[in-house]
Amino acid sequence: MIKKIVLGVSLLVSSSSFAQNPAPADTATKRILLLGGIAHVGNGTVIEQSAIGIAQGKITFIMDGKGFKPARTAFDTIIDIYGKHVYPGLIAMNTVLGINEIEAVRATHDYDEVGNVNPSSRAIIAYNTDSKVTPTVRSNGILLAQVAPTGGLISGQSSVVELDAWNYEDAAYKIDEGIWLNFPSTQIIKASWADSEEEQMKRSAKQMQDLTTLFDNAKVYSTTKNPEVINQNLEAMRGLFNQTKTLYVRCNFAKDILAAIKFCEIYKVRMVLCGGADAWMLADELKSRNIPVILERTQNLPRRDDEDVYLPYKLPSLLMKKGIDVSITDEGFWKDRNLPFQAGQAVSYGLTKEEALQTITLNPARILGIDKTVGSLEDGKDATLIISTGDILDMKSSIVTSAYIRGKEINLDNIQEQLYRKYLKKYKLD
Amino acid sequence: MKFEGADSFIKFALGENVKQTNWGDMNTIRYPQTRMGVEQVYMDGFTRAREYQNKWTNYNKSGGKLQMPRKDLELEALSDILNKKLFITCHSYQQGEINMLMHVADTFNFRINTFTHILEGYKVADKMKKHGVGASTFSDWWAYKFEVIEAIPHNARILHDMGIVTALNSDDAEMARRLNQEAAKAIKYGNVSEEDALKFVTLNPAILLHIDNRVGSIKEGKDADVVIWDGNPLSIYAKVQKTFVDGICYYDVKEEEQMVINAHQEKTRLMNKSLDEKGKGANMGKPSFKMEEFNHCNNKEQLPH
Repeated sequence: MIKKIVLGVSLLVSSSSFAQNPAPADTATKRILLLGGIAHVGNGTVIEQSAIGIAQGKITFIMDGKGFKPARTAFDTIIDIYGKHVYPGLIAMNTVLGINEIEAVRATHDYDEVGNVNPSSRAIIAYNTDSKVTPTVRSNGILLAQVAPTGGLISGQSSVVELDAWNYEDAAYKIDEGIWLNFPSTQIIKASWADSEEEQMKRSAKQMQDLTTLFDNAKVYSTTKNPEVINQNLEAMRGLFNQTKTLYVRCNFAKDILAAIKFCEIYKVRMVLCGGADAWMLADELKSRNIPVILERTQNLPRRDDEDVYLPYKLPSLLMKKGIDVSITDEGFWKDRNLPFQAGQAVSYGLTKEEALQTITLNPARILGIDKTVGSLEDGKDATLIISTGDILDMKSSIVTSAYIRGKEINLDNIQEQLYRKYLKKYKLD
Repeated sequence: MKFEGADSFIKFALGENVKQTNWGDMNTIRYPQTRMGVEQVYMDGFTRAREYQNKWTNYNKSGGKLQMPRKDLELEALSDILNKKLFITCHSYQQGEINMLMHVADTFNFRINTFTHILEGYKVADKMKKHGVGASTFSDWWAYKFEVIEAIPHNARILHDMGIVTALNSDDAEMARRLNQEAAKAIKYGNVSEEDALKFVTLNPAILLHIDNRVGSIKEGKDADVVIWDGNPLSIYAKVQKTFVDGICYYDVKEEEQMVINAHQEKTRLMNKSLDEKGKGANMGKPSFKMEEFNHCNNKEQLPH
């Protein structure tokens, strides 16, 4: 039987779940048709009046929906979304979502292990599916996240998770897909808190020495199939040398980026640049080696007195126009809910809206090697998508009304909405 | 730069900053360490200020018979608050401390002017309305301290609907330059009208700063402080074209673009000159990067001490 559902009424709101995160959605069994929505595919194209078929959690088709007459038996549910917008689920890269709950409370920090060299430590096992923060991020359309550790020289391994799960195994979308390196900087910093020039030079030389020794050892180790003594750190690094794991390199200064590029060439590892404030100076070098860039927030100030005050807004465009795969991120965790606006900020500074969308959908999917299944609204991909009443890149109109992860409709309620309702009621404002 | 004739304000603070909660294990013995202690500090301060005022009143009446009291600048400032010559903006988060400070003020017969940050203002909006205090809040910040775990992005909407003069603030240079976008978040989360959202960053802060007779809206007789946008300023896509202060153009996007080009050319010229000198064998220093350091509301924590 076909049920017509007017969107918005299907929002699950339960007062009994107060101060609890909503339960994850059940496995998708229904065949759904989303009819009439403005589909932002994620690859640059827009279908003004689309028809999107969903079955067994996958997109079975996406096409022009003008005059589309659905066969009555082909769907369990037809959802009318005329005038609304459909986007691929947004992907937050490089985040401590789920491994940091309250910035100032040490007990909630699971992102920065002690010690300098931690390639074996894995963010996935620390990922807390019951974080109160995650539902607030999810309700703005972020459905996947790359949870990455920070700190030290080698921080550990990141994994991609879906933001609706009972436990970290359910959440895991791609486990231990990359290792995070804070590339030693040779840039002398002058600031009230900074060490002396000599100290800084000494430290970076020592770090570079440590890093080189580690990679030399790891490379040799990776050629040994059954080592007599197992070294967990070097085991974790094996994947770098056969390129099954990515090396995410955090650095910002031009000369450090150059050094990192050379370093990755020597060890033949797949490099993704993260940070990359000066990447625009080295766009040709990055493009010629197909090195993608994960930019930190666009809503930032320039780092040098003589720089364009809007440089951080223009950075995505400066790199994308050179053909570089660019992903935009936010500062991580609770701020991830502003991810669409970090992308939107680049729109008046060189990107089209669809290009901006790409920096938080298809580009991250490509960088993560999950673009066969997510990142855009295409036949055969996961039905991981969001529906909004307006343009999600602009805070003025960014209201997400429903979201699906692999065809499952996600409950978009969160602790903040619950508190809002509680106090609207108290003051009789509801 | 100074706004001529404007009232003077003093910054107060409550909560974890005052308690030194996040200052590390070395900072656990300076009073106060709890919200209980914070109340006592304020009560003590104003009690001493009242006594101080009485001493001066008695001295002035005594015709030189009494000994002149010792001048105390700290108590002078607190006396100015009691005499409604100096106004309080207070950094605040949790409902209890907000409530407490309003009671302290009531006890001493003055009014808190503005609670800033005030992320849990929505929990005591009725009490705030009664006290007559204004609110200036972050649009959507939370989860950075324990005391902000019940912050909600709908805060501004509730405060506004309860009849409180509501503004939005940042506490850093980055967000300050796009407060228009922070205002737009009140539309998203609170379904506030565009007009009211815009007031959160124009007229309402002017009222809270007691300068709404001069700025905050475009009106005959007010200062010519005007911004020209290329679109709806509540949209992320809007860009400032020109900014006027007292009728003088201080920013023009076209001039800005030219300045960027000029700065780049000048930098290139200097770098080439420097490379020339290097080629001639001049003694070159290591290039260094001057890290900008910005002041914000809990700056003191960041300084070495």
